[in-house]
Amino acid sequence: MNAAPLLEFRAVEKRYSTAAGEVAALSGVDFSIQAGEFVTVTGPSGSGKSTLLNLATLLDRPSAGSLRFEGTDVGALHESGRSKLRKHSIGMVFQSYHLLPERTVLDNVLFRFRYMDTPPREARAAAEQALGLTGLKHMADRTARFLSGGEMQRVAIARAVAVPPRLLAADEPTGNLDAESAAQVMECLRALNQVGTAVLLVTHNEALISHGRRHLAFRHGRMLHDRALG
Amino acid sequence: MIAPWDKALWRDVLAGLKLRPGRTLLAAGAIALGACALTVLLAAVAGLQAHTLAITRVLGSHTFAVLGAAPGGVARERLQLGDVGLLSANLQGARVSAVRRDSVAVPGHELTLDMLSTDENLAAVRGWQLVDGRFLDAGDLAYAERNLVATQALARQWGWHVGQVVDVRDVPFKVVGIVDTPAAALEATALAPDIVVRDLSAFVPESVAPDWVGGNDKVAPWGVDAIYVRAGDDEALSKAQHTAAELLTPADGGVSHLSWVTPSTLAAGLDQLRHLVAAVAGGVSFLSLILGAITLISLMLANVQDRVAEIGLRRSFGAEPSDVALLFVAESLGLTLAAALAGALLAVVILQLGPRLPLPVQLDSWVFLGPLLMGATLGIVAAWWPARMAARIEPAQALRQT
Repeated sequence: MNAAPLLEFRAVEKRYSTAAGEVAALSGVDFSIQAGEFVTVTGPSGSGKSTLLNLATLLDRPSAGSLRFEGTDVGALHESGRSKLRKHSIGMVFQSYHLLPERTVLDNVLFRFRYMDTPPREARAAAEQALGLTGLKHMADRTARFLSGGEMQRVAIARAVAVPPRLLAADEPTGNLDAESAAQVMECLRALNQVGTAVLLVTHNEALISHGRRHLAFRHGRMLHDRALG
Repeated sequence: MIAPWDKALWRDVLAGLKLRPGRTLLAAGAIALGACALTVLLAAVAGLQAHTLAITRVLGSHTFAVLGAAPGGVARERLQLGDVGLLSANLQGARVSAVRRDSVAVPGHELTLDMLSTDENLAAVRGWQLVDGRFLDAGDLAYAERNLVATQALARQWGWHVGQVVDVRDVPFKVVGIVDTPAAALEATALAPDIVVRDLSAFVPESVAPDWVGGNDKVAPWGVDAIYVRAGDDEALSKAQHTAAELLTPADGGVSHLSWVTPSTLAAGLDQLRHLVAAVAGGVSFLSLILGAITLISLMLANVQDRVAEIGLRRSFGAEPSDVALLFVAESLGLTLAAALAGALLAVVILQLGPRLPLPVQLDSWVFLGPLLMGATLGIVAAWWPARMAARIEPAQALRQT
């Protein structure tokens, strides 16, 4: 059994060079996420939560400090190693869904396997199972652009979990949704967490904090608190 | 890495190209037009090359011709039998032959038969093969035998055979041979009509000509239309030509008006035609391909800009920068190869079914390979910059786009 945390930030900093000079997007961030946790991250715009998500999903590298995924220092890892981890271990859900609008729901979920060697039959079975988890199996042949916002986001979640991730990172997944759709999406995330998938939910919506078991608050690139929830 | 045989890759390519159908069609159309023009150009060049070889074969290898007066013409000097003797005596190692052409109307037909008065050397000098019997010999010449050698086409058309006695303008001739003259197909060319032997031609001893010409006042019996000289190799040919030019220079030192037909003069004529074709078809091809390349680059750049979020998504699913670059290269290659193939096929249809072009064309594998290679090159060149841009897009930035 791997004793290392799933994700571990140690004194992580992220700085960007701008015309006005260097800007710190994150400073001195220390926390870790264990397998199967549900962690919410909140903060106002510019607080660094999107930067945090980019680092957690290995889309970006820290400027300083240590970032480990299952014990591996991913900050120093070659791009191909980071791509492999993203491919097999990390699922992502975005506020704007990022579906391929002209393709069917099933094809969008199958797109998750685009850079994997999964045999087509297995990929299809996994995609259908993922659609079943999000309650959209009956819409598999619908073209994505004809779906409602809530349905699109559930397709995006199905896509993210079609290859069972160890970490599911969600960036404002309910940001564009009405209350009913948002509730359905949160229910999907909670169901996935209950079967052992760690969820990192980044949102500015304080009402979603209660869905997680831990809450991290950020402001001006620094972590204000890391609080366990009852 | 993405394998080129990956079905998903080509599905992505198709989806990518459908994003901007108007611009895709414009680029594909321009490239197809360029490929079509290029195919015609290559087919014409191949045809002209084959034609050069064929027409050189018609003249005979290591052979040149000196042409005298055209029928009724005064522009050129009259060649005479004496000139033939002069060249025979002075061109060591070369074989010399001469021909005079008299056209005879065939009673009951609108056809004319070319009666070619010649000597025993003509078939050997021009490298013709006998199909049956023999060619004229020294005895035919010495005794003015009324013997005749028919072209294969004439024998086939009129049913002549060796041993048969035929009447030509009420003069009986015995058919002693049938010869294959690979010339008639090239008669249409304006490059060297005087050296072409028409299908309906027969060879008779030049010593029979005085009797044979009879009332024909076209040329005096001692005049000839062409003298052919065959040398052992290219060097000997050049030397023989130089000597012949000196020998045939007018005695008064004036300018000679004889025409000289050599393999190089024939090739030069065809080269001019080839340059013309290259300029026209090459120009159309070049301009179309430039238009296609510019449209394609702009299409690929627009595709990259439109698909920044998709690129981010692909990266989030584990695509490496090289995978992203390859996707755009594949899109560009897919379009250019399909357009090049369509253009080449269109050219073939035009060349096969359309109006006959006033020049020979030949469709061989290079004719198809050329446009495809051009398409592949264009596809890679046009995709290079956009693909590089796409590969450099930061996934985190890309995914912020809606």
